[in-house]
Amino acid sequence: MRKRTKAILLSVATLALSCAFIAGYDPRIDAGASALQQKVGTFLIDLEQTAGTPEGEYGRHIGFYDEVRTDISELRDVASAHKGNDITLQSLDLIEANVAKLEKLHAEGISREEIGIVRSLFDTQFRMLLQLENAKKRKEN
Amino acid sequence: MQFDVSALTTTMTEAVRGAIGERWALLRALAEPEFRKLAQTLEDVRQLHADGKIDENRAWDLVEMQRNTALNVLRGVQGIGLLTARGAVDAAARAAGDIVNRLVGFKVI
Repeated sequence: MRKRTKAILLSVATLALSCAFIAGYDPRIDAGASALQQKVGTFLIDLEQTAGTPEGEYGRHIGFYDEVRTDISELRDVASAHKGNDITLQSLDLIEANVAKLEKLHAEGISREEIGIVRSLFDTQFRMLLQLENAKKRKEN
Repeated sequence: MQFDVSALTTTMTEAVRGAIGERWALLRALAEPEFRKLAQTLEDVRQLHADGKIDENRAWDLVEMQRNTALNVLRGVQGIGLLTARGAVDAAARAAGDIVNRLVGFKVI
């Protein structure tokens, strides 16, 4: 009987440990990521309209990039306060990497067609991040 | 040479399917449309380059952004897959709890 008990306990413990721990739902990350998605989306729609005109020049939009970096940094701070948020943090890092790339392309000169591609990529990045946060929420409900 | 967007979508989708095994059915609906969009944007970049609208360096920059985005999709699938697995483990632990608790004589699960 003791052997059987040990075997069952070991199986359950192994099964539980085999699944990496994922942090719980934090509405601040969900709301912050949604707001950031909106901000980046609106910026890219506007830039698509003004690309190639003085209004669309990089110099006039430096503040946007600083603001987005600050927003991502704040979201990182909230996410890193919870254990098991590695995937959320990595997702934010990948979004930040694409913001840096977009800034480089914008500074060099970016066309409407390129903005269309970039917009689709950011849509996917934010959608995946929000899907993960919503999955955490569903798990808790 | 033109990309076969459909074949590329299938290749990426199958790679993930192999990696996540039985949880695939749950995650397929999430990953497949995103990979299809990514494959389409790769084709768009190729077309811009073929038309001489962007140079090689610009194409690489855009492909690097696509690579980052593909990693986002994989991270999302990984996270949601882990949460799904966690749910299954919790259910298994609950199911096993009665038996284990009875065997050890106190509430351990």
